[in-house]
Amino acid sequence: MIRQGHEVRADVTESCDVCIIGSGCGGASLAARLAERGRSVVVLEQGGYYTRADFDQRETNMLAKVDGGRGLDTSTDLSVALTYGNNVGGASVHYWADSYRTPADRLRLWEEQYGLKGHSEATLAPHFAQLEQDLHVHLADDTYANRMNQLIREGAEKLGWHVARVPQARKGCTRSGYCMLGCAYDAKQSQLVSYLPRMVNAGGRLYSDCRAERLVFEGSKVKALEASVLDRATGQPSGPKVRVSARVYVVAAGGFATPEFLLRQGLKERLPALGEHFFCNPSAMVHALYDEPIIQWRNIPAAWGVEEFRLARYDGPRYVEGGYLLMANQFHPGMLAAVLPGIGASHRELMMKLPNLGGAISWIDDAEDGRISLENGRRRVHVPLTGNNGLRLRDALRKQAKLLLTTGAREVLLGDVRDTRIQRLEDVDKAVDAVDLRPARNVFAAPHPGGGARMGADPKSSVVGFDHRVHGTDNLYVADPSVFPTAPSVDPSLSIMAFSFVAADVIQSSLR
Amino acid sequence: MLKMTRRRLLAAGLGGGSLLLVGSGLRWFTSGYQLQAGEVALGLSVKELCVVRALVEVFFPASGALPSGVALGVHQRIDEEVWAQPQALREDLQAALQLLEHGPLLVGFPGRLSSLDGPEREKAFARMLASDQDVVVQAAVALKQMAHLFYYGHPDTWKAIGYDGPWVPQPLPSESSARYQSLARGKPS
Repeated sequence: MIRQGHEVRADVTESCDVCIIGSGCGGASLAARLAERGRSVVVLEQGGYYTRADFDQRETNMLAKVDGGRGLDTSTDLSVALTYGNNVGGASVHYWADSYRTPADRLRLWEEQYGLKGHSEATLAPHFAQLEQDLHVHLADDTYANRMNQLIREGAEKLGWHVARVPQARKGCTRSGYCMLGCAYDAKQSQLVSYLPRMVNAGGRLYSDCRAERLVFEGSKVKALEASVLDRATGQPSGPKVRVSARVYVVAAGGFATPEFLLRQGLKERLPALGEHFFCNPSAMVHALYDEPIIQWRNIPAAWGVEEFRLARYDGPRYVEGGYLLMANQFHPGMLAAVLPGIGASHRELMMKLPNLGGAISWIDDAEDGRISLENGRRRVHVPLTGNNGLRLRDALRKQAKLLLTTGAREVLLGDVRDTRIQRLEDVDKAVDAVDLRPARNVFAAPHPGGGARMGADPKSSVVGFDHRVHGTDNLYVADPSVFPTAPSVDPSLSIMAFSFVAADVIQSSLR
Repeated sequence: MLKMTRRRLLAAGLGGGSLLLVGSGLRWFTSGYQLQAGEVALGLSVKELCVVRALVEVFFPASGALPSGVALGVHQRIDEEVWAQPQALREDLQAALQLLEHGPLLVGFPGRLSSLDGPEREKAFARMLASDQDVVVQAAVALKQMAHLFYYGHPDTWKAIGYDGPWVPQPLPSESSARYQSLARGKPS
């Protein structure tokens, strides 16, 4: 059963085994797993319930429906655009469907450097296999590669960089290119078409437009969760309240909202790591003008990924290069216009060449901790673009520019407020060195948040234990990327769900 | 695309504090601002909507097959967006507009942004975009991005720029948009 906000006209009291806050990759996969094992599950989702019938492929309509902050949220100093879902299915509804297993080297790092237990490669392998089957994950074949992706592959091969097909969670893809605006064909395997229907079929209940607000504690045990039903048109409470009494509560509201929610419960004093160690894969976007049509908005966003620089290279303590993935970028005209440099005639001239515009995006594996905090009741997201993050961003800009020029781009645009443009490979280093990384001078995005409630043994330096349970509580858990010790160095969706499957096993055991 | 409270403006230092004095201090000077026929200000004040209109005029004049931004109602769409945002973000955007309106004085232009003629207004905005003051750049970038999203997100611009458009034929506006339009017509939804 999915009950939308406008259908709730009076206060509701729910009772269940497991109450889950959030219906994205973490919450939905956990909910399905537990419901199918016979547990009664109630999911509360702050955003609205939209399906393929609502996905009209228009940016200005869809941003308001499925994007957190209506697509306009940013880090505190405006340096980084925050991308997250605010809808049933969470960010899986607007994600690119890239579906990587957590790399073995990253899982080893988590074990060896952060002491992680219970989430080894061997433990997760059957979960990944199950996820890949459930979500129809397969490598993108050549029919998925639009011209920009073909160029990324060709350029990387010319440069001798390792480039590989990107695994995709799709079935019956029409190659329309509207993945980021919600799939109108139910081909992309978002939570809307995968684990949420399974959860509902197994008897799970979901309330959309329902904002979780307060956990009622009795000692170390959560006794109830209080929530408000929202008017979807305004985002304001419409009156009715939902109160859930459960044996177990799981926060799975995503990398931004989970730390925020736990901070609002007053847990920071007990758990100093709450909101700290935040990461988000700051993403640098570089544009390129070609002499041939690119039509970047059609077909899937990322068929080929440059994996050459996934792991950073150091010479002793000195950073050399890398620490990011490189891929083709995809924009529709509104968002592209928003991030292109310049105003007036110079900007208009670029937009008149829209079909010939392409570009690349890099996802930086964060090397500096960010932070989520509350200031006068308002969430603040701090993303440092200095230090090692700055080094990586600059190197990523450099590699993107070189890659795009190698693919035959007539001109490369770094997208900064100075409108830096590069025509020759030999000018790349000087141009990138001069990029001003102060706030708001560039357009960066934060697509993969996490780390704000990280996993560990010590309550002084972590928020949840290896069983996903919040330190010092009896029945409060976290199941989303907030628990990751660091960014996973690839798109996190499959990692999030695999961790949720581990959490499901733990919770199932605790309920026996 | 803006996060900037008054406290943050003050925290930006002497420059930010000065700008706050200029921006917020003049917030209450509202003379000389008038809505034009068909306009409503539900998210913004009348003054702020006029500032947005002034920006839209210089960003998007009619050009070849591209219609003007004002004719497409881009300024009105920004009012809708501000109306739909949470209170805190709404206040940030309003503070940004005050800053942009009075910012030209700080970058060498004798007058408010909306009172400058078109070419001077564009130059003043470009100078604010290139300012050394973070807070001025933040305000300029936020408004620039919003305006360009809504202009090129409008179907009447697509043919001119070579975008073949959505495969789903009918637009399906959000609930917030429907509510705003209803309020704008003076009818509760």
